[in-house]
Amino acid sequence: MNPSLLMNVGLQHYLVLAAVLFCIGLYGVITSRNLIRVLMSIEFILNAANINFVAFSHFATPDPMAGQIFAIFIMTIAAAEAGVALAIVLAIYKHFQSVDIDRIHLMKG
Amino acid sequence: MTLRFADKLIFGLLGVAAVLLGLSVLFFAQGKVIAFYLLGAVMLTSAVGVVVVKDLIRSAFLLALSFLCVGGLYVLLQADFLAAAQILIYAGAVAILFVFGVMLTRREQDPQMVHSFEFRVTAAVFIGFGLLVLLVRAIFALPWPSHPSSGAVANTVVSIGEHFFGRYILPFEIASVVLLMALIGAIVIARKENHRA
Repeated sequence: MNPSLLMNVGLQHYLVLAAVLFCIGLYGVITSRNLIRVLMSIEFILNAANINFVAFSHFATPDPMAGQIFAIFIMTIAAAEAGVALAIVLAIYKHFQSVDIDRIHLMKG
Repeated sequence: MTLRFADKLIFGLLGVAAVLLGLSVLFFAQGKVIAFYLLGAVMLTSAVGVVVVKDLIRSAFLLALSFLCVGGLYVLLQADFLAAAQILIYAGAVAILFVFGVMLTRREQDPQMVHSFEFRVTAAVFIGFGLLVLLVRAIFALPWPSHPSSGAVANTVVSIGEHFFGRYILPFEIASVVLLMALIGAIVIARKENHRA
């Protein structure tokens, strides 16, 4: 790899970074047994998407604001999702006395 | 409480990276490039930490650190409003929400981690690493612009406000309704049932 590619930080550097973050989030979603850790990993996946949006809006778009506005909407939805999901986790914890995914396999209340 | 070796490694790396970040931005001409690599390194290290560290409270605070680094990347990408929003919403609100979630569902004997080599871990490594290789190959196969596009805006706050109350007015209003519904829904789901419904 030539050094100018390393020193000249362009769009692909951000894309690779976001791809790594996405895969860490995916790994966390699959392997975690604790519901809260699964939610944290989902936040990583959403953040990876956000980094991509902002990087594209910085480097490669005719309208420099579109990507950022999309990222703001994703942030809004992610915040709402985190709130509702944690409320559901608390309800599950009250019901099962556990947040271990392997022990929550009843779909009926 | 004693730390495992992996935990010590992660926290040590984070400390070294934070010191290097401060020094590089202060003293080097190529500070932006170094800042990118160090923010990325801290972000990825703490992200791995969130998934790997045994104690959930620690992983909640590592999550906040990772979100802060994403905010730093937004600063490097000249998205100042988004960086502020990232720090306020993610590092400030979502991470603390997770801390509360961890505290309210904490039990001493809970099995927090997967046991060493389950099928699930192997599958996750294959899926994650395979997808990563695929994505990186795809990214490097294409020519991407390495310089910012010409229409970059210096002050994004004004422009974002104009867009929100112009072209994106409908999604903006719908987002407010979604937030209201999430607020009410979260309260209804998580409240204590005093009376028998």
